[in-house]
Amino acid sequence: MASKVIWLIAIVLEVVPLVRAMEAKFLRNYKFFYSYLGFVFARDLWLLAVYFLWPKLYTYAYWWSEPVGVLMGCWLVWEVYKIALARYPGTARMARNVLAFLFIVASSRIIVKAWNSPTWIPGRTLFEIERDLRSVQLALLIGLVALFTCYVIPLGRNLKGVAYGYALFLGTSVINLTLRDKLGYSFQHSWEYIQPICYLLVLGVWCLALWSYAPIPQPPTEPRLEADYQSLLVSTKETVRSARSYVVKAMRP
Amino acid sequence: MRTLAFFLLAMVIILSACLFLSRRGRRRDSDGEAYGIECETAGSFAWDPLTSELSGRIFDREDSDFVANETSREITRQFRRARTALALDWLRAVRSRVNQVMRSHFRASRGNDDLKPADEIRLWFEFLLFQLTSGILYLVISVCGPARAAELVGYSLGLAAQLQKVTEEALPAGRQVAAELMNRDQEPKNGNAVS
Repeated sequence: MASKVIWLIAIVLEVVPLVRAMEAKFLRNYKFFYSYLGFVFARDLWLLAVYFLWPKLYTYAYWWSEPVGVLMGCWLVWEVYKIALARYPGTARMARNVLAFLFIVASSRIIVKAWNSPTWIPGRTLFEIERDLRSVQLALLIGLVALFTCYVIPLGRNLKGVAYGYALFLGTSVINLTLRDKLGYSFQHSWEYIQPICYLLVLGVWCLALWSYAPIPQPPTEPRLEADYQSLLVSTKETVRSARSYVVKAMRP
Repeated sequence: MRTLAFFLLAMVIILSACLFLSRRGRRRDSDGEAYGIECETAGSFAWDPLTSELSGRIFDREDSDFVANETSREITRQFRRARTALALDWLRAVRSRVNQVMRSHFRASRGNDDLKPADEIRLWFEFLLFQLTSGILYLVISVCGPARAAELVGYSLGLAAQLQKVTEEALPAGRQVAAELMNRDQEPKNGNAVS
């Protein structure tokens, strides 16, 4: 009973940001995010109908619609990258390289698993496959957030909410799927509660962050590059290097 | 019961991650204020001569020995504790200053079209090396105190210099041996050719 109540609350919470965005007319500003939310909402309604009308088909319906969710999640990550770095071409270039590297590293594990499998399926169970795909997404999102933090990229309330909320969703999903996969059916009962409650938490973050439109704040004055990038780089590198030798020299007896 | 245990575990992980992120954000905001450092451009890392002299003095054994000879054990212990705190504070100030320079660099380069990822990664590596060095020093100072830490650093540097010297001496010898071997290989061929 409790899990059904949580399910219904989740459906309501999925509608709230959509309705708010439609009312305030900022749906187009984050189209991939709202497409994702719209898809999740439609999927939940469909799964609810399947659950009550054709309960035997529920597992199939759930697992067949899950890859679409994963794919749309990739679009969401891409949207975060695109919007946040639109005004920062330098960091965007850096992000492309770092993300490509992370993608290769994270997905190579899946490819190797599929290569070794006689059926070409990268995992023994559906939980394992989904966990691996979510892990790739999580690695990309963490890399992106690390770059935002490093290069002090302002995100704004909306985008911060989208990124952190989705990272929270991915993080909790990976933990839950790993536990479900490792512990087997004994964890199923816990999983039925933990996963939806974590999801409610994520929806709560999204509702709060996307209650109204908050554009990305512009820094009042961007530091001007007096010299070219190359000399700035050399200068910073020299500073860090000299600081290191300064510390060691000061300690020399 | 098991459900509750798993739920609590998941919650603890999530909350600690959130706490870490929020604390980090707050620390980043107030980092520059802590030592009264203003936003500066890269390349301006320099300490005035007085600060440099003082930093050398913190790690000098002379003061420590003087206090140990002239005063009681309790005062010596207090002095060492104060010196350790001072040394750690100094190291924190240096780290904070380098962090500030790095942040200025990132702010200036984030919008630059010429940014080269390979060079940036090299810079990150350089920064990581600095953080690693200062982190190890921080640990050594906290455990051994500034005077002993300085001795340890001196010993390590001496050892590193010796190793470098040995390597430099060994390398030309190695090249010479290789050259001799190559010559030996060629000699019979030449000899055969002549005969």
